[in-house]
This record gives sequence, C-alpha cells and structure tokens, in this order.
Amino acid sequence: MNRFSQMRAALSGWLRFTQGGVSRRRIAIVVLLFASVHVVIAGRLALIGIKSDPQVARRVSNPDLLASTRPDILDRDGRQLATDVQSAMLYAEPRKGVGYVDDAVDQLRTVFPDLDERELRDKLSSKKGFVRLKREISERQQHEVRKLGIPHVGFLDESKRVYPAGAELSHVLGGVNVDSVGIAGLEKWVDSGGLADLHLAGFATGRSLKPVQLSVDLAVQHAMRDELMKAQANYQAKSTSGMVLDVRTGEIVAMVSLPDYDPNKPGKPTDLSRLNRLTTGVYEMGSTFKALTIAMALDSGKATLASRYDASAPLHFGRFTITDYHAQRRVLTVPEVFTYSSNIGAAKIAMSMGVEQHKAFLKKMGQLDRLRTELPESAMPLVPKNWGEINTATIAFGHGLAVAPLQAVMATAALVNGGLLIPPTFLKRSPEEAKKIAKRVLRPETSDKMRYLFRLNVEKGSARRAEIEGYYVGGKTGTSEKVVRGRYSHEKLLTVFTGVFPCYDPKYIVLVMVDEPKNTGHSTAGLNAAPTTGQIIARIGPLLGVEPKFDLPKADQLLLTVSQRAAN
Amino acid sequence: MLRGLNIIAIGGLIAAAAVVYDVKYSATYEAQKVARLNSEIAKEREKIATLKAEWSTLSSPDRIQRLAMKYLNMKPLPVTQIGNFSALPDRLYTSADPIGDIINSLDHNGGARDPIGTIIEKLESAEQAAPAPETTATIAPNEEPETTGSVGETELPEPTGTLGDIPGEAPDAAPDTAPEAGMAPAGEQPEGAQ
Repeated sequence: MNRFSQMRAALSGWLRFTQGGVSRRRIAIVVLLFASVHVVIAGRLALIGIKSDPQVARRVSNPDLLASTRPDILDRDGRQLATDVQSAMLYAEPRKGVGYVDDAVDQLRTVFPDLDERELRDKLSSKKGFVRLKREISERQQHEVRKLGIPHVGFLDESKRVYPAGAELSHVLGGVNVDSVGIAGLEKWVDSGGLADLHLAGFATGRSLKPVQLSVDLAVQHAMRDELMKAQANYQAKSTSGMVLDVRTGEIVAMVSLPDYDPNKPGKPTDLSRLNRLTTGVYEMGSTFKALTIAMALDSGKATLASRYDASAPLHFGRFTITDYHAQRRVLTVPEVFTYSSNIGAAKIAMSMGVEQHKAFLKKMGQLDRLRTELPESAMPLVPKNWGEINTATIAFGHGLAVAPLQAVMATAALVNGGLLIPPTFLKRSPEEAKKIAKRVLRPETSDKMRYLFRLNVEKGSARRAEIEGYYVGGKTGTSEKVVRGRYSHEKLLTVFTGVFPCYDPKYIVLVMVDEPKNTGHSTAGLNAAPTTGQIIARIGPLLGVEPKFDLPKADQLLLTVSQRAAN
Repeated sequence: MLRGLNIIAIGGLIAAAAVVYDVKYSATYEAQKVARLNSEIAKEREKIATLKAEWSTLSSPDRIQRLAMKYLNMKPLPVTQIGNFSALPDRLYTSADPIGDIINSLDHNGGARDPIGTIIEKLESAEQAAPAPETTATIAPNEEPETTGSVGETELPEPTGTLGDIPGEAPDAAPDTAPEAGMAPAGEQPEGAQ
C-alpha cells in the first residue's frame, strides 16, 4: 500500500508536466486500473491474514500434534520403563488428488506389500483432507516412496510409546492407545495431570517433559515375576500374583499379576490378562486376616500374649459351624491361635471385642473403604450389609469380607512397622514424606508383639517353608475357599502368604497369592504360597540391600528383648 | 562546500547501507545456523532417545536372564555366600605408616613379617657378598657396585621426609640405589633374589 501511494504521488507529479489532454486521460485510466488490482491483492492478503484456510491450518498444526510426546517413566534406579521413540508415518491428502488412484495403489503396494489393497483404494479415493496410511516406516522405505513420486503423499514424524521391559511391569504401567493417550494404569494417571489438555493444545512437544520416577525396582520386579511364573507352572494355578511393599514408606517395590500382557502390543481391554488382581480384584484373604484380629485384641489391652481361648469344640451359629483346619481340641494361647491358625480361636478373640469395635478397627485399618492409589483402577471392598456377630466371627479369620490384596498388605505393614498406616504409592517417596502422611493406628508395643508372632509362625507354625536362613522371615499363611455359585467350594482355593523380613526390624512385606492351585498335595498356603515367598525373599533380599544375619536369636528371645525395651 | 558535504553525506549513506546490508545478512545467516543447529540437536535427542530405548530393551532383566542361563555357567547367589565385615578375620599386619615400617625393618635388619624388608635385606647381602653386576646395571648403570652399596647404607636410616624427596631426583641423581630398591621392591624382586 505504501509503495502504491508513493507511486501515485510520483505519477501525479509527472502528469503535471504532460500537457496533452488525451494522453493525460489515458494515463489516468491506466493508473486507476493498476490501483484497483492493488486493492484486490491487498484485500485478499488481509482476508487470508484474518481467516486462515482450514487446509493450511491443518498442515501447520498437525505435525506438532502427532509428534506430541509423553514423559519417560523410570524405575527407582532410573532404568527406563516407558519412553517415546520417533518414527515416520505415511499419509495422503486425497482431497488434493493423488493422481490416478489405481496407479497410486499399485505403486504403494510395491513398497508395502502388506497394505490391504481395498482399504488403501478406499482411503485414497475418499474426499478426506488427511488420511493415515501406515505407521513406522523405515528410512529406506521412505526413500522408495519418494522415488515413486505420487503427489500429495508424504511423511510425518510421530512418536510411538515403547516399553523396553516388555511384559515385566504391564499392569502397573497400563498402556496407551494409538494416539498416545493413556488408557490404563500409570499411563492414564500421567494424563490426568493435565497432559491430555496440553496435547490437544499442542504444547506437549519435544522432550521437555520431566520423567516420572516410580517406586518400583525393575530388578526386584523381574525376580518376583520369574519366581511367580515358576510357581504358576509348578502348582498349575489359574493365576498367581504378588507384590513387595516397603513398610517404612509405603512404596510398592514390585507388583506382578499373572497372567499379564505386553503393553507394546495392542490388545483387547476385556482380556483377562489385563486384570490387575492386586488392586482391581477383591478377595477373602483367609487366615492372613487373623493377624489383624489378634493385633486388635492386643492393642486394646483386652488380651495379652498369655491370654487363653477355648478351641476345644467347634463354634455353632445357627446352621453355621466354625471348625479348625489343624484342630488341636484344647485351650490355646494367643501365639498358638496364630501358629495353629485356629479359626475358633480367632473368632473368639474377635467376639470378645464386640461387633462395633471390630468394625471400627477394620475401618481404622482402611479395610472397609476403597483404597485409591495412582492407579486409576481400584475396587470397593465387599462389606456385609448387616454386620452381626457371625460376620465378626468369620471376618476374624478372613471370610465374609473381601478386600483388595493391596489393602490387606497396607494393614499388615502397619502391624509390623511400629503401628503406622501409610497409604501405598507407586511413586518414589522418602521416609520423611511417608512420616508426614502416616497415621498411627497401633501402639509400638503391639507392633513388636506382632513381629514376634509372625516370626514364631515361621519357626514353629504353618509358615515353616517360607524360612530363608539369614533374613529372619516372618509370615502368615492363609487358605480360603472360593465362593462358587454362592457356596464355599472345597476344591477351588485361594492361598495367600504375607511374608515380612527381616522380623527384627521389618523393611519389606512380600505378598504371594496363588489362585486355584491344582497340583494335588500342594493346595494349602503353607505348601505353595509360603515356599514361593521364601524363594522370592532369597532372591530379592540381596537386590534390596537387606543384610543377612546368621547369629540371630529365636523368636522367644526377640520378644524378651522387646519386653525389656518396653520396661526400660 | 555544500557539495563536499553532500558527497560526504552520500558516501556515509552508502557506507551505512553497506554496513546495514552486511549486518542484516550475517544476522540472517546466524539465525539460519541457529535454526539448523536446533534441528540437529532435536534430531540428536531423538537418536539418543532411540538408542536409550534400545539399550533398555537389550539390558532388560528378562533378556539378560535368558542369555545368562543359555551361555553362562552361573548360579543364583545363595544368601549364605553373603558375609559381613565382622565375619572377616583380622588383618595379619596393619600399619598406619607402611613406608616408615619398611625403613624401620631395613634399619633393624629384622622385619621377619615384612616381605619387602626381607627382599631388600637379601639384595643388600647379595651385594655385599659379591657385587652382582646385573643388579647394579639395572639400577644405576653409571655407578660402580661398591659405591652404590655404601651410599645405600648411609642413605637408609634417613627419616621418611627424605624418602619422599628422593623419587623426584631419582633419574639423574647418582646415590639413589637404596631408596629405589626400597620403593619398588616388587618389580626388582627376581633380580635381587637371584
């Protein structure tokens, strides 16, 4: 415009010198003509500037959107668990025309024989502005396609999510869909922090995102998965799952639920292998719940370790009868109730506390509410609607209340770590941070006594096969009958083992669940879940830096030193 | 006068235009360079990310275990193989000042527990009994055997401070046979012993 006015000024100056009338008029016409052309050009420019062509805009913003990245996910030692890798994608713009569609189809299929002919033809003959033809194209293939010279066919860089450890950590990580949006597990959690919105706005590009560091240790995770796979094959179980929890911080160091899947490969979300049994499933945890019952009685002061409960005869509730699996038919002390895993004893302990107190205690221990972690998948515990005396009696030994295994582990951690209930997490957490959110639920003395009971059970009780010399393992077995068509089945069992090590100063809890072991003679927890836990502890102890000690006293002496400490 | 000023002004204008032209183009050039480098950095980052992912895949515990089981004759570490410091026996010989001990042992001709001292002792006695030509040749070629021996003996009782200075002079200074033998006994051992 500026140039035009300059030109006109120059012209009018020059016109003053030309005297001829006709030529003067002609020149004026030419000037007018040029001026109108300029106005049209300027107007069009302004229009483009104000309202951009949608086609143009698409070309500008699309590459950014496709190249959008997700933060890396690292394990606690910085090993990569999930990362983005750039790869080229073949696209076409059929609206602009790709020449003869048949030719284009044939030519493209010389480079990519695996492309479906009909699908390709449909895509190219459509009137869409942008169609995606194929992902992950190598440099060589790109070169060959360029040589074909098909118009309006090109490449865009897009990022692809890869999980280098494969199926190792499938349930915790979850997965992403083709558009790099988290659909399950921690990938979905990552998106919930506003990343999805950033993606849409086109800001989350490049490698600017801070990596997410998990509490999971890949080496421990692998060791656990390896041992669980062995157990799965050995006991011909329907599923096997397990986890390791740091009792001091609530960090989940490993979590395996078999069968699992490879998050690198897309699969059906309804597939059974996608189910994380430790967080999404609820189970009746069986005798492992007796630890909670006894801790409740010890903590309230209503019972001591020397208290006695009569387990000589089965308990009758209307048409229900509570019997013992390893029946002793005599009066048992509290440690004996624990080590013989007496259902009658546990029921009597809970009943001595009363229904309301039992309920309040389990509520305090977080067993009656949905436990939420970073994982989007969680399950609500199945709590009896009318909680009567019989419910208290059965829940005392782990029947009649179904909780997520992670929830039960959280409560067990509180039993041994000095009485602090710490919400479990998948993210790295320091002991100081854990202390801030921890809630005191038990007296430290109760926790000392529970450590003794757990250890005693490995030395003398049902958990003998979990013993690994040097790690002072403690634990509780649990075998529960699964409900099949409304009835407890004697064949379909769920065996659980909660192992704690080292018991003189507990650092980690290992939970192992074997669902429906079929190998005859190995159906109870003491025979499958307990030895599996022992194997796992032997493998992960060195990885976690737990020092083995071989000159440790027996459990009775442990309690002695504990009571001395309490007296001082 | 006015014309001269005009000429200067025009000259200045042209010069200024040239300078501006140059600055503009060099700026554009630099901007292009920056853009190119930035895109190269981005490309390198992508490459690094790809390589990292590849490394993570190759070093994934699952794969390592499979390979180890196939090619290595190794076993998982049993807990009983892990020890602690208190389980270790006491060190046979500990000293806060090892070099001083060497000198002391040389001085007293004792050093029954000190292997280095014994070596030097042997070396000395061998020299005194019959000057071994190959020993002297390797240590101090310019010197005569008996001179080295006597100088070594006078040097030996010196405190540690002197010993620290000697290695610096060692290459050219003549009377350094004994300290050198004291400093590097392990290497000289076969020759001295023979």
